[in-house]
Amino acid sequence: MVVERQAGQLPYAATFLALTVVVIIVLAGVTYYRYAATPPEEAIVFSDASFFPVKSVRLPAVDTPGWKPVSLPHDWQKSGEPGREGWYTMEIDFKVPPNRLWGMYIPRVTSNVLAYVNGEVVGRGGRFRDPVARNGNRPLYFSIPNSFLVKGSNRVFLRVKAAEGKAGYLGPVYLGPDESLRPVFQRFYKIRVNVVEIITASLVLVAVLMLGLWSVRRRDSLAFWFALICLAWAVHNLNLLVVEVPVSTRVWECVRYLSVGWFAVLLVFFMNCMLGLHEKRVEYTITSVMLTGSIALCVIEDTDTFFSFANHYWLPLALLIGSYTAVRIPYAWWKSWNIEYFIAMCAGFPILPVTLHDWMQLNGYISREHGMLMQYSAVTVLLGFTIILLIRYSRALNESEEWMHTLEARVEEKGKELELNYQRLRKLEQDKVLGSERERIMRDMHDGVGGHLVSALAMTESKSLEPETFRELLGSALMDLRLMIDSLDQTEGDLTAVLGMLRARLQPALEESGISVRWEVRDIPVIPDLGPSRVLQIMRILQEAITNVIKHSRADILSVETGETADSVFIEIRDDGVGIPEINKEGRGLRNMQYRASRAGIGFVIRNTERGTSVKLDVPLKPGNPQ
Amino acid sequence: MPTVLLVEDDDNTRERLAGIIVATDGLALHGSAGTVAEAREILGKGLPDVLLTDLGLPDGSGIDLIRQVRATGSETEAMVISVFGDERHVVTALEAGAAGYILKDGTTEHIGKSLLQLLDGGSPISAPIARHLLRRLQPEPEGEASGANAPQLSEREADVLKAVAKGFTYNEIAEMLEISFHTVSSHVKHIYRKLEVRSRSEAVYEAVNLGLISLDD
Repeated sequence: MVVERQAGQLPYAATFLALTVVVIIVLAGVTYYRYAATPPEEAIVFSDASFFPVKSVRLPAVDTPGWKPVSLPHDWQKSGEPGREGWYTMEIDFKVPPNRLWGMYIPRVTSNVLAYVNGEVVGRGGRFRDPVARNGNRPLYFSIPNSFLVKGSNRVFLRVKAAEGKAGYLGPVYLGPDESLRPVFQRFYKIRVNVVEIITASLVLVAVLMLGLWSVRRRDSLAFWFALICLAWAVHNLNLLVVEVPVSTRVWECVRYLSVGWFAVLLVFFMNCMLGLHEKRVEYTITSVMLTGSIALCVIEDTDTFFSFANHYWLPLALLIGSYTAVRIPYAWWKSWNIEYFIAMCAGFPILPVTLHDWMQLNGYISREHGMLMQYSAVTVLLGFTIILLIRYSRALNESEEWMHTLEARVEEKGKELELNYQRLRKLEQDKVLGSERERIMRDMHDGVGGHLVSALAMTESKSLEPETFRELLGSALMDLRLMIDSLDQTEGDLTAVLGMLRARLQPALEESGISVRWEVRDIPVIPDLGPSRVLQIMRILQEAITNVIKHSRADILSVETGETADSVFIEIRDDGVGIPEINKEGRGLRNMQYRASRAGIGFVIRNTERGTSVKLDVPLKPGNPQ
Repeated sequence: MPTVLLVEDDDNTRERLAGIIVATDGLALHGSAGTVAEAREILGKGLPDVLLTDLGLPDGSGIDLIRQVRATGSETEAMVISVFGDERHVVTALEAGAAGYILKDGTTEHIGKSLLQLLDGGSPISAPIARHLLRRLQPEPEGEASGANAPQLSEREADVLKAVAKGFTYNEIAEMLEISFHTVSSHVKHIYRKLEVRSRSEAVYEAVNLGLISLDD
């Protein structure tokens, strides 16, 4: 069968590695457990005893009928003891009585024990009336003072009482020097009690964290189900940790069985959530069956019926439901090779054998010497889930980083595109500006210097070449070229600067003509949109006007004046000459000036005054619409 | 008699200008050249009182000749021959140390007058040039970077330039400011000198900024 591997799948090497890690954890755990459970070597071990299956508060006499020999460990379920209470006694001879502190070590007893040495009480596991103290999960150790052990025969009595619904049990009992026996007890106590305490605390902590995560991110139902699993498991573990239960055995046991059963149900919900399965029918069926069972557990009055139902129906049902997940998750993994499924499978795998082990032990199918083990399988489960969370977290981080990068790349790309577009637009604009400027210069040249040069050329071809007129034409062409160059100068809207340039050009001609100039140029406001084109038109009009004065007016004085009105500035050129003859008023020169003025958006008035002529240009201060 | 070295590559123009110089009372021709090399040869033999040069010459620029003459530290003045008297050409020449310009097609009278005016300690100027000088040499606002101790316009000089920019002649300016024509003319010449010094100090400033030279040496 060829399985196509998709995203989030696990390579074979990693699979092998993960499996190896789980196996190593399990093996290490088992090895350490076996080491911790090793019985002491330097101690006296009682593997035989006499048993007196009678409920009695006082020490029974050894010669009373009813004592029978048993070997330890002694399982009351197997030997069919009817009651929940009984007495054990052992005898030991000392040739030399010990002169240091001794101790008695009882690794396994169900559920409580009271120990006597030579008639004196050396220790007890807790309360004897019901609900009796539960020491099924914890080893016991009692110190024996020096004086209690004597030379010759010494007798040990143990009173044992099982909790309701449980069969009594007593494993081997050890007697030995305190210094060698106590460390063995402590070693075993650590793994039976302290480790379970740590595991239970971790379960509660993780449950709280997961519930917190879920309350912030309701979409993370996986965290919710895992939190509930942890809580159920923690409740179940309480049974192993609490010695003297605060409620009746009936209630206590009910809660304990419920926690185991619903633990299995929660496993299914968790699994369905993780695998993304929508098997509502399976969920409904399991939930309703277990609900019915829960009601039964709560309402059954008879204790025997309760325990019988719990052990023979409720627990196997829970085991069955748990097994469903033990099949389903590996199957899903086999189908998808998803790394999370694989981790869940590895992490959850130990639950099944230990649960089976505990159930078989509970029902007496296997030796009860080892005690319950299910609590330890929480280690791999917690580890596995942590790894799953880490994987999800790092994957989410990677994804968000990738998104950030993609986003950055896109922004950069868009920025570049924008920049390119902007450059293209700017180029277009520049081209447009250049184009219109070129067009303007062409037009201006055509209007001015070009026209003069064409006339001059035509004159050379005609027979009547008059040197004076020819010189004049070339002079005009050169003058117009100069005006064009001047018009390109940055005047910044200052008309007086335009006049300054113009005067520099015309001064030689004016001086030659002998007309005196009155230069009455005052500061005037700047014109906001005085471009080269308008400057040129103004200069041409003024140049033409002044040339006309020089040529035709026979004036003595020419005055150039600037001034301002509310919304315009003006330039006025006046002379004291003969004025314009009526015939010339519609002449070509004047029409040309008029045309130039209108094109530049400038007011142009030429008129005869009392003493000569006046040409007045009005330049609006507000941006107009020059044609 | 003050002498003029004429450097102009157009034969007709050179002849015409040489004719004007010779014809002007109080001026003599030191020599005339059509290229930078020829001009250098003549300069090597002796300096004229005025160097009158075109800018675009077949083997180089008249600017180099102006610099060469100014670098001797002699009294020799330089003047540029220009077709249009446009700002860009003239200002470049002024920065190199020229003290004025004449137009190629100027009248005989005008050219002669300009040369004599120059020898008399004055300088001609036009409106666009005046405006440019105003922009370049006007005192800058506090704190702004400028050429190290670059010379700036005096108040009177600024007044002269402002009037020139509006088209007033030296005579009119003299009347308005109640000073002599000669004073106006020499103001302008001083301003040209300031432009020359400033452009040189700006060049130094730039060079220091660019790390080309160090002032600590």
